[in-house]
Amino acid sequence: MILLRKNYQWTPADTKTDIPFSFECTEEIKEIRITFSFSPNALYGEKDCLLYIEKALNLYYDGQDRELEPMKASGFCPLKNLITISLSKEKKYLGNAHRWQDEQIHILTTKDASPGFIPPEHMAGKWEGMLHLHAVCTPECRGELTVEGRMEHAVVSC
Amino acid sequence: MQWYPVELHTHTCHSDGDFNIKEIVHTAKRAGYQALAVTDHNTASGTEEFFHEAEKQGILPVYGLEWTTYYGHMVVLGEQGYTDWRGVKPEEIDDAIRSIHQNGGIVGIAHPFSLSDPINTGYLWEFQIHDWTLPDYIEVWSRNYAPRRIQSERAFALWDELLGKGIHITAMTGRDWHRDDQLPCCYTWAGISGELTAETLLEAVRSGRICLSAGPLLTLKAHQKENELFPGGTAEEGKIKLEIILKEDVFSDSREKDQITAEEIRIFANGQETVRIPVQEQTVLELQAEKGWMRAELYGTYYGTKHCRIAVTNPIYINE
Repeated sequence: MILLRKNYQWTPADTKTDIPFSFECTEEIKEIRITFSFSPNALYGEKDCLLYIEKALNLYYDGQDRELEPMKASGFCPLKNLITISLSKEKKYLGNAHRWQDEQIHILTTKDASPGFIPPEHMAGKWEGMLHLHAVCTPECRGELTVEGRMEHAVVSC
Repeated sequence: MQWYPVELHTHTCHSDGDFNIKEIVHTAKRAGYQALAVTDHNTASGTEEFFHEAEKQGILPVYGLEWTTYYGHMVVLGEQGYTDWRGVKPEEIDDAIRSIHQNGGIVGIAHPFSLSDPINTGYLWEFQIHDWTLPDYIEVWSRNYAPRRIQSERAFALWDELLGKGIHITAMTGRDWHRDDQLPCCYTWAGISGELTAETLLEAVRSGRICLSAGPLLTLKAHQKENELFPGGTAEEGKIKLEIILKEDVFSDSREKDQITAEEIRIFANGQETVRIPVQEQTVLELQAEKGWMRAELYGTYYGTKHCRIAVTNPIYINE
């Protein structure tokens, strides 16, 4: 059963913002499956990337001679978008899946949870989550979030 | 006093590390660490498995995680309870640190001047600390090849600035260990008399009984009247005897030994170099201690870079 389905559209101006979401689970639900994806996953054009990279390098060197620690700007291309999910259940923090993945599936039951999360005490009740937009480098980025409730368990590990 | 090599900044598949829990414990044990913290980004979901695996493999586990925010990263160790990282604005960090302290934890500013957004998101420290007595430590050496990197010089400059203002903040290394990349890193050595436990280790970090090393281990002991003091300790102004011990052969990686050559030891007091001594296993100096702080540093050649700082002790503080 679909508990939540949302589509998003972001731009670089949305970088460093949090997007809350929430959903409810009924008693019959034994497992939730959160599917999140975003696209494009990265900025590929070297010319566009270098604008961001030069800014980062200027902050790093802070006016010092770049020859002291040479770095090749083009070596940092492409620039990935980074959007992660955190979860809470009845005000208890369950964790954050902080990794560079543009297609994510997170499964939680009362016994197991996908890496980054801990299992909740109960499935039923209100869940709260956040999308954390650490980096939106592409001119546009579309996101899709689906939360599905299932009556059976899955086993998760890493 | 025993000096123990520890690593308190690492990541696993519970966030964006390549290691699983078993692998990081095994790799840390193989590398010679006696204590390890798994500090995944904004989560401690691997804790139960980590403590189990650490006990099995014979390494001391330390509970932790790394706050990974838009305004900086902060390693949080030993917190019992939870302080939420989400939504903490740059001007609110002092209160967040107080909350972590109330829960028994300590905090370290991670890689404050590393290359940041959007390559490494949020690495640059932009939180506005008003009360610098609050953070317990700052990583002055982070990640790989740290001694020759500009980010390290900037971190040392900040550390010196804080010491000059009378702030007793510990300097640490942080490997930010994501994978078994075999790249050169730096080491944190914790001075503990008695048993190495999570409590005695975090107390050593809190109090500054820490020496940092890119290879050779440099430690310091001060004698004043009938007192024996180590880094983080406090002496009085006046005559002081410093005992500087250098151990060059602490890790068996022969590749690293070829690339790191110790050349001289320097004593710094209040940011000024006061004495240079040749590299030798033990040196005893009688000095006049002035109010402020003093520490020992080892210089040499590091992967082709000459006159590089390659080991440093935390300071002994001097009161009036």
